[in-house]
Amino acid sequence: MLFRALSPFSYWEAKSISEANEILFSNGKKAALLAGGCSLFPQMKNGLTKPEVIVNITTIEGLRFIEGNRDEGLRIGSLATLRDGEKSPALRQDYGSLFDAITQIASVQVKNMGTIVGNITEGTPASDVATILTALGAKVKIVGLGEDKIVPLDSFYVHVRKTILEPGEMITEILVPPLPDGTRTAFLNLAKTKEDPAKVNVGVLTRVVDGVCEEARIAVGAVAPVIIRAKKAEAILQGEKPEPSLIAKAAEAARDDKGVRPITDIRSTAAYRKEMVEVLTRRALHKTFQITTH
Amino acid sequence: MQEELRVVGKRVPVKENFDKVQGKADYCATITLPGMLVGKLLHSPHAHARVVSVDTSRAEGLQGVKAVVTKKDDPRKIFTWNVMTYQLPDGEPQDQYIFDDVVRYVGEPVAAVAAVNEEIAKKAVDLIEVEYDVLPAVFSVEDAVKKGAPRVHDTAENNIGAPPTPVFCYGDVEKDFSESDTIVEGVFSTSKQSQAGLENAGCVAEWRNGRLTVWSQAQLPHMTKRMIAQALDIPESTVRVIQPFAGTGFGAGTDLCPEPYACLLTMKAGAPVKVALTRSEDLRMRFTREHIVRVEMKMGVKKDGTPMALKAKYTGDAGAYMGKILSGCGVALASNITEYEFKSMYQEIEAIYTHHLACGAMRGFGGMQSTFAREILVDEVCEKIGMNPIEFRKKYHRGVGGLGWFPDTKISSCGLDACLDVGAERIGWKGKWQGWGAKKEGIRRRGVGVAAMGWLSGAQPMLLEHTNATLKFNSDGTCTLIGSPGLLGQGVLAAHCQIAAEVLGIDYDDVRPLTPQDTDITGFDIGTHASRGCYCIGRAVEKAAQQARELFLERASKKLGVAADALDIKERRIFCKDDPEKGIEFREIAQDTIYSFGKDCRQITVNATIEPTEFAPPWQAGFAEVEVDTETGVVEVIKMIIAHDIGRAINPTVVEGQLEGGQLQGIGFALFEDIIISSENGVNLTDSFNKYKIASMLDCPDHEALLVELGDPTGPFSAKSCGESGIFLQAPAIANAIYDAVGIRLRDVPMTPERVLAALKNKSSTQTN
Amino acid sequence: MQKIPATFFVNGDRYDLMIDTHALLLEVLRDDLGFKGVHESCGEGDCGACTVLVDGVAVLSCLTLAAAVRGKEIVTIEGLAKGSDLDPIQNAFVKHGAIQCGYCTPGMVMAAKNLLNENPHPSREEIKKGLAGNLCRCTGYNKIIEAVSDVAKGGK
Repeated sequence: MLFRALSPFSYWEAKSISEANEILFSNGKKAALLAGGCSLFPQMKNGLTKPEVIVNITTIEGLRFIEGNRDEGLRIGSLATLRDGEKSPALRQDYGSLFDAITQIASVQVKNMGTIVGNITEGTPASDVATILTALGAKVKIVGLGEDKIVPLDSFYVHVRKTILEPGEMITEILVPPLPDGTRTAFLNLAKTKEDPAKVNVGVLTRVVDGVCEEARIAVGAVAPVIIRAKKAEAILQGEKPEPSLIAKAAEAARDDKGVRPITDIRSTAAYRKEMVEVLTRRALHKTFQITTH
Repeated sequence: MQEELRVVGKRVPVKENFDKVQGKADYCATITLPGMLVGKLLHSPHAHARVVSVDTSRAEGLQGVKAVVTKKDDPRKIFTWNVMTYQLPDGEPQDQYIFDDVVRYVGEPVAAVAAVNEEIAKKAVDLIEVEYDVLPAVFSVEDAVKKGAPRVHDTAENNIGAPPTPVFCYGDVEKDFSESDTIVEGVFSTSKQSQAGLENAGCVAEWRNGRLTVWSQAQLPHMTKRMIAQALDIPESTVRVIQPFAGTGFGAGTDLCPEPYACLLTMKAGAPVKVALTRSEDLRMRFTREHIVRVEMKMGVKKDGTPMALKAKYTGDAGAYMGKILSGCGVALASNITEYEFKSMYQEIEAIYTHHLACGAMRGFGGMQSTFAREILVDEVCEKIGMNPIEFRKKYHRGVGGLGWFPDTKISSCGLDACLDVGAERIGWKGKWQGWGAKKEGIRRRGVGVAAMGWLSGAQPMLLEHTNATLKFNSDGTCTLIGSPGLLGQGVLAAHCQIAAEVLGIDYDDVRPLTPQDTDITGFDIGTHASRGCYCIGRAVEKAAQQARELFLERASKKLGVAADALDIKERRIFCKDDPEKGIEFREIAQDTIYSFGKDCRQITVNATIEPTEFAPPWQAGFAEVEVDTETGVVEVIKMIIAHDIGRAINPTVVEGQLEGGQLQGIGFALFEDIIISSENGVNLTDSFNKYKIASMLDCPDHEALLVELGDPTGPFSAKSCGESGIFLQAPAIANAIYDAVGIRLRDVPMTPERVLAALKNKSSTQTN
Repeated sequence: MQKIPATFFVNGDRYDLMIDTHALLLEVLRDDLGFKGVHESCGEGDCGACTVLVDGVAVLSCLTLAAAVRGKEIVTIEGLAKGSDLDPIQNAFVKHGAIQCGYCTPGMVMAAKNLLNENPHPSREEIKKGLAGNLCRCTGYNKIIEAVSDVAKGGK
């Protein structure tokens, strides 16, 4: 036929996770996994990747689910779409900041097709969903030919578009921890337009018990090759009463974190991004603390 | 204004939209011909290189490849993609070959392949071996004019495409500056916007039996035909341009793009060839908005605001070829004359070659850039003399009989005062504008801004605006309207049908526009540019309809035995004005013209030619309300209003649609649209919709286009233009609103959060120092 | 190159054909089956011009592998009218002037169909959110929003 945007590849439809693992393993780097296609096909069209084998996993039963609640934690199956996330009452009611990060993705079609797991597996440090999941302390379940692994998201990324996934491995689900009493979360980002990847994004989780911040997790995206945790800022808040001056100090610490090493590119400048880490962190912390201290 | 109009002024549906909404309309992208081949281009990866050799042998050896073309196949006739060059007696500069010995921008085609399918064509492109002698390149006008800078063209010393040239100056500016009480000035920069229509650049060409048919997105089909013939060195009548619907426009179709390559391929392959560019190729190759990279402007006024002197210089970054940069700068200059009654003006233009993609045209051609500079300076002047910015504009704009864009032209109508009034009312100016220096507090601060402009309805008398329109009547009293405006979705065909139906006293449904348009059928027409579709072509349609009306009345007069001038036509019936009962159906006369059986067969087909001389400026006031986040620099447009002096809206829905569409493009221009080209290697870093952002529905603020209908003595049913006008005032009105909100003056478009924040910091550091 | 048998139910009709495994749904619909109303623009998921419904859900046919949706119900713009009667969304688009160049229109209408299937009475904000994946360069969106609101008010 006249037009074909993709180059030929060998196409497989996996019936089980283990079948997918085997095809992926035996083809090594030549193989790619297909779920939503929203990142794979643009990359193929742009020549960024040229898989010779594609394994469609949408044919595997039992991977499209979102289950749980804030007391038990949330489990997101690898075929749950972004739209499933947007529609999930558990996600919307109990994990509002994750809902915020998903629902602000502009394209309904992309949300219909793209999976939550696919979004975070792409490995772009600008992923809004990955940033908030990092703040939430999410882990991913990795299934390969060997033992299953459960890895925290903040150790999952190696570099831009590089993760710890080995040939033959895939994520089968995301495990989001429960949110004990006093826990609040917030997600904020800045982008050129509503449809553009973030210039900077920030996800925050805080837990306040008896007026004292018992836990703080701050994740920052698009300021380094991988999503980072602003650990100094977290430490500043830990065990303290969340006053505005303390929050301001923590936000500055987030900005000055050595992990924050943004670049200048078509979307923004390094200086702007760095500065916005402070503004967004402060605003996100205000959001979580104000709501709790209210 | 004429009363009792039955068709004109009505919100009738645009006929071709029934096909479009069902996916039945044809575009270059959807056209498939039997035996059609797929064409692919090989682009230069270098911004500047000598093409030493192109080895196509391996590509040609590939099964399924039907033609490979390189500079060997180019008849080597100098030409330009800018088909509008023929609108000037001496033309605009021509400096292109289909394939040259030197490539001058990243993405310039070096060879092209036609094959039985896309996969083979792509493979063949990969098999072409090009030896380049890579040369140093320049990526800014500042660098380009430095001594010893690499030359883009051997013939252009210091890369000067056109040296600073004063145009249309009058009075003594130096004297008037010395007599001014207040002088403001600034250097402004604007971005290289992409037209970014949703259909990527593409065309189909078929060489058959010695004729070349080209399905093109051209906005100017007849001049496209001429330019293709010139480039290929074949007689003009050999070429036929068919325009299906174009999924783009806004100026994109005023330049060629894939056409020359598709034509060379089909002539070699002997089979039809489609060249459909990807979005990335479109953004790398399609001539962009005229890139007036720098505007230097200075204005002086008296204490009471009386405009004294205006001086300006417009510097164009031509890119690799002259394209439309000179006319772009020229329009920036000419359009700047009309707005205010300055005692003297001195303006000059210059154009400089660089190794960027060349410039074409985009909606708001040239006027975007001068309006941005002028309307901000007017705001500054108003602050300095303590005048309300609406009052200044009302008091000092030119009016009827005043000087138009070009020497010896006169303004035929002006509704700007009314535009300023209705716009101010709708935005709530009175409550929201708190005077100069009003204190605003908080992290998020709101402000309002105003701007104004006058545009044109066709570029006469400066440019040739020759237009023909034909009406061909059927035996049932309906007719076909044969014209050639270019089918960009302007909706102007609806207006044309309304004009014809109104004149003829028949129904809107009785007039059917010819689509697709075909230069073998349509009479000569310039096509669509410079907001001329309704005004210029509409006048030709009006004239043709008047001629047809006379022929119908003449015939009816014989039938009824009544003098023709005693007859009128309404609701498809010809009748005696004095005795309305006496009459005959329009349809019966039409039938008689065709089935007359030995008496007087004569199908009524009339053609009318128009060469308009008046330019009927439409005027506009724009009002922006914004909220500036002082911590992030994000500017949110709360409301954007434009009030437009349309003369009369032939079809208000269509007019609003044009203005609203321009409005969102104007907001994009103001805030985020920007083609970013690497200053290291000339690569376009924004070659996808993922990187070159246009507004989605979520980026669409509350915006509105209000129509002011006060008529114009020259337009068809007193209509003026609207096609380009929607886009001008967002950038200056938003800039002025930002000043009102947070007290910073921005001079660069797009006004990104990064720039806003930097300006805010700059302001606070100057204040504390 | 691998070819596999495929069955698609497009606009209610069954099509059995052999497809390339690397063919995109857009290419099969437009080039193999002749549904030329399925328009391609960005090719990367940014514009929505190629939107079709697969099993009732709006997807981008330029990023959907045809092989992966074998056996599914597909609706293209050509499938909305019932005989000569246009869908209410189509009528509203024409009436409100929500169409200019028309290149985005099929995808926009399909996205509107998807939205109204899920939410028959969307608010203005919900319409904007529901159609945010479809770029239109011509209209400034106002008239599209009006057209969809009009249909929503009509209860259809």
